[in-house]
Amino acid sequence: MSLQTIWHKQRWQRQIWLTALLACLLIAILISLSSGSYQIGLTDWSQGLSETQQQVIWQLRLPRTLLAIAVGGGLALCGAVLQILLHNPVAEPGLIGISSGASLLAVLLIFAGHQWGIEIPAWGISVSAFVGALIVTLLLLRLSQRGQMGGSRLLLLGVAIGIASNALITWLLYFSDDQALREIMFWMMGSLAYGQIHPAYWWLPFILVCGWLLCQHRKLALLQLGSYQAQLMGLDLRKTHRKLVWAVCFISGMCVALAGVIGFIGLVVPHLLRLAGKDGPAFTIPASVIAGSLLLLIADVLSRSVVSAGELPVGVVTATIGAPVFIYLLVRRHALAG
Amino acid sequence: MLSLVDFSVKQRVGPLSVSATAGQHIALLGPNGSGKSSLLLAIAGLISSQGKVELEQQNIRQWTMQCAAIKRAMLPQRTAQLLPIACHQVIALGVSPLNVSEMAISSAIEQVCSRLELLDYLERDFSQLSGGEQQRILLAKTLLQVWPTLNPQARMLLLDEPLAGLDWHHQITVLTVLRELTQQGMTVLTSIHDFNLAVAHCDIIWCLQQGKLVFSDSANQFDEHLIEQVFRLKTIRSQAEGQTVFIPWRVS
Repeated sequence: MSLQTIWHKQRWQRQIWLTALLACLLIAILISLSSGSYQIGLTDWSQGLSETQQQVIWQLRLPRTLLAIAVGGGLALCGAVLQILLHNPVAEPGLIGISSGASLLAVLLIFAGHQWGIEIPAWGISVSAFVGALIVTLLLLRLSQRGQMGGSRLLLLGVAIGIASNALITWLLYFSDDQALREIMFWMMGSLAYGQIHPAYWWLPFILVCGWLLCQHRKLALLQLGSYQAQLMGLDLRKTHRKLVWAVCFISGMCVALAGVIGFIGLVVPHLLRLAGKDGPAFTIPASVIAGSLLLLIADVLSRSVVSAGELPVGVVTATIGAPVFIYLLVRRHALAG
Repeated sequence: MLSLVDFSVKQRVGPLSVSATAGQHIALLGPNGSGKSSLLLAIAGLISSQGKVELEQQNIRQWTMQCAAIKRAMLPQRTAQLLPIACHQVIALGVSPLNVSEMAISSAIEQVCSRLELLDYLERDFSQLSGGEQQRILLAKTLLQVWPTLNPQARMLLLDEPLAGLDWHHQITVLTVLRELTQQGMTVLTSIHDFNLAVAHCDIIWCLQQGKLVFSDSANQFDEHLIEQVFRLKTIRSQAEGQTVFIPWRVS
């Protein structure tokens, strides 16, 4: 088969996959907007919505749906980039300490609030989580600058920072009272109930950074072959590395700040797409964003509808469903054997 | 013309001074850990080095990485590939520093792949191939970067053990393609472990021992005394079909 036909076929495959994922996402958005304790039926959509229904959708469900899309897409994007950047198929934002660092500061704030009886607003927790992510990023880049910017070095530093933060969190948990404990645990398990109060302009930098990262698939394709190969093709490794790490840390910091720790999406989504497409970053990067959004949206709908009273933390849902699916795929297709 | 003057890589290579005229295939010989890879990486500009290094009177160190990517290509030693990617995508990465039309790219890829007998691999998953197959794909990518029809500015090709993991058929195929590139003016520097292939297919041999250059002369001057001195190996020298052949005998 000639190369032109192969390229043509590949272009078609990409378009079909992306369109299919987008279509699924649209359906999931509709379901997410309709389902909940106040049901909106399919006929209501076609016949025009009542005032209450509009209010429920605009003020409650749409912000939450958009949050799920942003966080899911962001986490999956970070996972896809990190797996290439660190040459490690298990890399994800949680692994390199960003989530732990963000949690540590957020937990510290909740703890301090309860200790001194101050009411902490939700945005305060988000801001402190984001600051935590930034501190970890600075620490990672500073420490890994000594000596060569190696992938495994960054990964191990991240793991070590994660362990240290988790230890400190455990200390804080140990000295917390019951109510603080409950609040901290719920936050750490990840929930989309937090972010909906933030105004839209919070998301502008997030969207800009995601957009920039989406355009980096050429550089990531070079990096996938190893850092020497990338440099030989004219890539400024140090600069690119630093920019990518910053972008990933910013996005995952935002995600943790707004929705707590949601594991698994960053790890699994890129792998599922690689199993499906056997394609390079030009496909996996944009597809990860859509598929991540889709997965978190579905998980959120489930977390709202499985238990009749209240809701489950969405992080629990993603891990409970995702892990067995992932194991099944790994056992069936030996695609990750390395 | 490639020339190194007082060239050294800290704790690894040199200082050494050596030069080669353009259009020659230089074989880089030496035992494991003698500094072959370091020398190649330093000439490519991937690790820091001291002294003068010039290609056609231009100081290589003054090139930006983008500029260097047009002037030279290098095949580093293979690293493990964990994530799936199609072979044609890997090969096509070789043109990423160049600014050429899609038609030119596809015809050049087909040329390179037919020369290296890789046309059947284009759609396969690179991460699932054997070591030798991956090596040939990466070699195709590297050759594409300096392929004369795509990149007439290319002057130098650095290959770190390109024949590792290849069967004899493909070893000779690769060496034949390299011969054609040198005939078009390319300077090729290849690290290699097989004396016989080096003597038969290369013009010049540079031999390293613990980072020092102990031999730099035309390939037919290479002899069993040097092998014994550098590799601590006694060999039998023989002639067959007008070609010098060394047969490893015993360690000395």
